[in-house]
Amino acid sequence: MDKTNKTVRTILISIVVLVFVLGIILVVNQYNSKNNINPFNQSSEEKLNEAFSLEPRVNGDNLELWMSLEGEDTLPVVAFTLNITLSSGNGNPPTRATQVTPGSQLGVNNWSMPLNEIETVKEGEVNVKIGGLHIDTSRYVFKNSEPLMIATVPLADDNVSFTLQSEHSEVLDADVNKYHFYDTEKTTSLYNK
Amino acid sequence: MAIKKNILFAAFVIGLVLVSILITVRQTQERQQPRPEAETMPSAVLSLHPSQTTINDTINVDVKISSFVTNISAVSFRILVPFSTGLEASDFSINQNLAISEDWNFPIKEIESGDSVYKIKLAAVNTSFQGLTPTTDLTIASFKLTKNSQCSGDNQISFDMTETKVIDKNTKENILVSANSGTYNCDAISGTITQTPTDTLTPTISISPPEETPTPIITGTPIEGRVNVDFRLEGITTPRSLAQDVKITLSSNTGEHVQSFDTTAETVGDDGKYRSSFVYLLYPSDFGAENVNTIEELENVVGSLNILIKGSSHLQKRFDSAPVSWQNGDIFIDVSDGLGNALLAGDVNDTNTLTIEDIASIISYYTDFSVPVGASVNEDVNDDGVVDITDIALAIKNYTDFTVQGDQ
Repeated sequence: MDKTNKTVRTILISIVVLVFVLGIILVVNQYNSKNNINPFNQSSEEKLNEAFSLEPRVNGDNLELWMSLEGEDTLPVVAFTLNITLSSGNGNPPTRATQVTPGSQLGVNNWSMPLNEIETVKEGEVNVKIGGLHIDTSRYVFKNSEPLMIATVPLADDNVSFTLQSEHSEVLDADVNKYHFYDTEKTTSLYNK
Repeated sequence: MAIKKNILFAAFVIGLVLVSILITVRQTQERQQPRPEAETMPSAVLSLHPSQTTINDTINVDVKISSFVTNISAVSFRILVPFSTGLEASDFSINQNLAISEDWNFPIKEIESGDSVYKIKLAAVNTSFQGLTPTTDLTIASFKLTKNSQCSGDNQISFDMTETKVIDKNTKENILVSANSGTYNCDAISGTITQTPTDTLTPTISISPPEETPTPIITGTPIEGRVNVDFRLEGITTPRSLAQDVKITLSSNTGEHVQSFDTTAETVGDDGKYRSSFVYLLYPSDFGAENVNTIEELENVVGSLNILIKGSSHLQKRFDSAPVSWQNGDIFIDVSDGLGNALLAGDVNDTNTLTIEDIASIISYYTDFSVPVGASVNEDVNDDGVVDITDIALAIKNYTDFTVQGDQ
């Protein structure tokens, strides 16, 4: 009888330990998938190719988007896309514009902007979609020391936060290598920086 | 009361009938309004302004476009100014409004001075969602013509129609119906002005003669052999679930018995390498082995083959004397090594040339970050199921001239 009790107790303890271990594995997995981290299959290429930053600058009632090359001295670039979320937090529209105004240097340097759209996601939040192309037999060379103003967005609220989304924010060089931006998924308050 | 109601109802019906008749008559009249033929169908006209004048020293010539009915996604032209005219072309410039516009790209804009002719070259792409809406006499670009001491009489400056195109945003067809030349007289005092000739094109799609399939010259009995060709398509570095249509042309190193195969290729492995497999007829005489009768005997004599591979979104690439390996009577040709060996991307209209038409065609799909498309849409250059910025960038990468020709 005593032996049987001991066996049952051992089985019960084993089950508790197993459930505990499985629980930890489940929690770790959920954490990793939320943060898009896969320790066994992390692409070193994805980690290494962050080379650009996008700085939001408020100038009067306008938000200016400045793109800089940081990881390299120079880079011939043929295309970029930016996926930005502007949110007012109080339900007011962050901007009433439906398109961005391309920076003057883009046109001068033979850039075009086939994708230029400000889409309302929900009350108080918009998605700014920008796609730039440089179709030219001579390449546009991005220089580390020369930030380029991509566009301006007229702001309609004084409490706007800015987030550069990692998905669909990228730069392609002349060999169609993909580069990413620093500080994506980081929300910045535009008026309290 | 009932009579009044009936009268009101009858009046309403009569009114309705009268209004319908009026609308129908009006529409019929509108349809019968005579309109120039070119303006009632998608079409475009390029012209030089002024079209005829006398040059005292230097004149400014504008290149103008008029387009009708449809929107435009790309324009290219080449204007020829022969040295023999005694005219010199210079100062080529894009219309400033277009040059700084975010809707336009001008990948080619130059005057090339050849041995006997100035070539004024322009390629323009309108990348906006709607394209260039119908327009009348919009100046795209300008250049200067200066007469030198050799210049006399009337001189005609015309478009080179092989490189002059206006592309419809929707149909992706060339809708140029005419490109009007200019006549410039160098005799300041007694210049005679003649009517400017017009290069007229028919706005219908040209029908190319059916492609001739090379007929093998039979010399000796051919032996059937299965050929497996491994190759790479630029922009594809991971496995794809769908097969690609490809055309593979094989011949012996002597160039005899050229055979073409419209076949398919599937990715093998995990790095985007494609393999195509088909039956090929080997002629022992091509390899100096007239007395050979079996495929096994051929193993010792066939060491390489000439091969051309064409993808449906990629330019044709030639591999001369590609080494052959044998496994169980099958031939294996692997031309997938090295980045430089990949077929160049961007020929989405499958003409074995990469031009502004291909780029405009891909851009016509690009209406969002990532636009899902069905299988066999050539504009999805890297075959990942969506048209995005990468597909356009792949074509731009290889667009280095008016016409980038694939290997022949």
